[in-house]
Amino acid sequence: MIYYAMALYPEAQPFIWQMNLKKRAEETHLQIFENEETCLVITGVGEVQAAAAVAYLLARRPPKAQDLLVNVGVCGSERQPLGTCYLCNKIVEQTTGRTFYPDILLRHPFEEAATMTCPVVAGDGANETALLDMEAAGIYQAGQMFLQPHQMAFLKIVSDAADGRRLSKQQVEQLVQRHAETIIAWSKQAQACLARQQAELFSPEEEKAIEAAAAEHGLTLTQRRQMQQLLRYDKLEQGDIGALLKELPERMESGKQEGKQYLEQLRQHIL
Amino acid sequence: MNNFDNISFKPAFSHIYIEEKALYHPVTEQILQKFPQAKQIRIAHYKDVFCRSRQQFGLQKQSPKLILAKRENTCIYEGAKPCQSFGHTHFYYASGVMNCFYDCEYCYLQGMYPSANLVVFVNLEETFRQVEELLQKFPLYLCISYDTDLLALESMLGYVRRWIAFAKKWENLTIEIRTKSANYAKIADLTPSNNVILAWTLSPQETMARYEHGTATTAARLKNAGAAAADGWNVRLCFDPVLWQKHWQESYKQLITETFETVSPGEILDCSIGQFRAAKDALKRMRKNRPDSALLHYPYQLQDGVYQYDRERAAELMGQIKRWVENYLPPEKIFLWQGEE
Repeated sequence: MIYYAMALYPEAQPFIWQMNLKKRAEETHLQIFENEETCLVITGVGEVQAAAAVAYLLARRPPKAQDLLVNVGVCGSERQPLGTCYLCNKIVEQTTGRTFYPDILLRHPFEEAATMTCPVVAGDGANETALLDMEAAGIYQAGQMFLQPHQMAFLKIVSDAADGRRLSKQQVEQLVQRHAETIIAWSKQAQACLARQQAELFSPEEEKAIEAAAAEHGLTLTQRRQMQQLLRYDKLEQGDIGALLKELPERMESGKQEGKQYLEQLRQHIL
Repeated sequence: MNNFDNISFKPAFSHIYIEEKALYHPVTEQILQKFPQAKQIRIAHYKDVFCRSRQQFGLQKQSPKLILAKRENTCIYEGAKPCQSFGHTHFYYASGVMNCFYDCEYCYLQGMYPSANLVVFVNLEETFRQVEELLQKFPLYLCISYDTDLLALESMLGYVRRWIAFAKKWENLTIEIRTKSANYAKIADLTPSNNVILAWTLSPQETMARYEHGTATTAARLKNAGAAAADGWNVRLCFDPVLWQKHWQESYKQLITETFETVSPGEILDCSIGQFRAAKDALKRMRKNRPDSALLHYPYQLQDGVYQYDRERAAELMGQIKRWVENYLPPEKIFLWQGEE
């Protein structure tokens, strides 16, 4: 699953349209759009609203190790060219001075910069970071309760010179539209790359077989963990545990075996 | 760039985090010159990056970042129980770099640190000052390449040369520099010192290929050890960790034969043999960080708070390897780690 978080509807609209996301009518507190592999939330403007919305989304739809949270939004910058999309390698929370560092492990097509999350449109301290935004620090802090630092990406598109000038909804939408296709394509591949790295060791069939064997031999919770450990080693070493799970009971003495005996036989067989 | 079909990990040190205090240190400048393409990110303290919660060590290892910092507290620590003291009373180790460039599956660092990123403390002079303080009290045996592989990083840091120069000034200091690299050439021009030990960790080639990712081949390490011994350095050979695996007899017998064909036994200072061992909590973290490692998921037995092979298997493994090594070295030159020292 890829989770997108945008403050405003015009920032989200190009993504909703391109991925054909459907609005969840039953969600009355927030606007949430989704399809099978994507979930997008419109958070509202500012750190607190953004953090609350992301926490709500991730608590309702708990992420897995291969999932990704992508925050996309416009930002201000005195120095960086208008329209450029930046991946943030550092997030400074202006109100507290705290800093956050998303892990950037994968190759990407974006420029990189630091952003400062400010409570108002143009904040002081603009010289400390290249970009100024209003949500990133809140989203990071909410996200880190559910995700690891490499599972969060913050993409900011420069829309103004941090001088308080307001853009029309249409202007924001056009700015985001220019980068939406690239962001979507990169996010999908980044998530696929993480999924390849985090593949489950046991197939669903193997999980069932392990569970059945544990139940058959009356293993306690601790013994089940020990069994999982032995089988994990065997699968990693041999590549397959199917035959082992099938043949082992036949080799055991007839009659109901105590869990301890079963584990010992399994251990001897594997080692 | 809309085609990301072959998206991959960024190269090592694509990002360099620099503590504000370390910004203008000469070592910082020297390192930054080596990585002109790296993104430089200023940080207040190295722990802001290194100690973040919920980092994924295994994934970070595929794209490790560099953190440059200034050490302001203790740099010298007493040697831990699972480490060999080689009979020295005052056994300490220095932690000038945290984490290793290599990626060995059995490495205890992945159970010790919250991050796979490398921290380089640029103010080595502070470590020297603390060592001098200890040397005023007692002679010191100091391992300087335990939590890292300093010789592997020599092109970038030049710390091994500086340590050797420092050791020359202190007769009551003995330093051990342990490595899995083949970087002896980086220091081969130096005059050997009596109180410097160059130690190579050795594993059978198939073990190296399977578990010691990124390290020099066994043949290359042996060639380096042989050259260093021939030049007059104190050379230590470390068969550590010894790993039980199928056909271990053939693998280790061949390794030991090759070792003493390449490195003259008469030129060896000593040799250590140690079985795989990991502290209880460390192995738990190591397994979590490496769910795909058969080596770490082997059902080790817990003895005295340390996971290791069961006594029977350990005795067979260690006893046999010791006997083979004894064909070349006298018993007083062989140090074993087999449970309690």
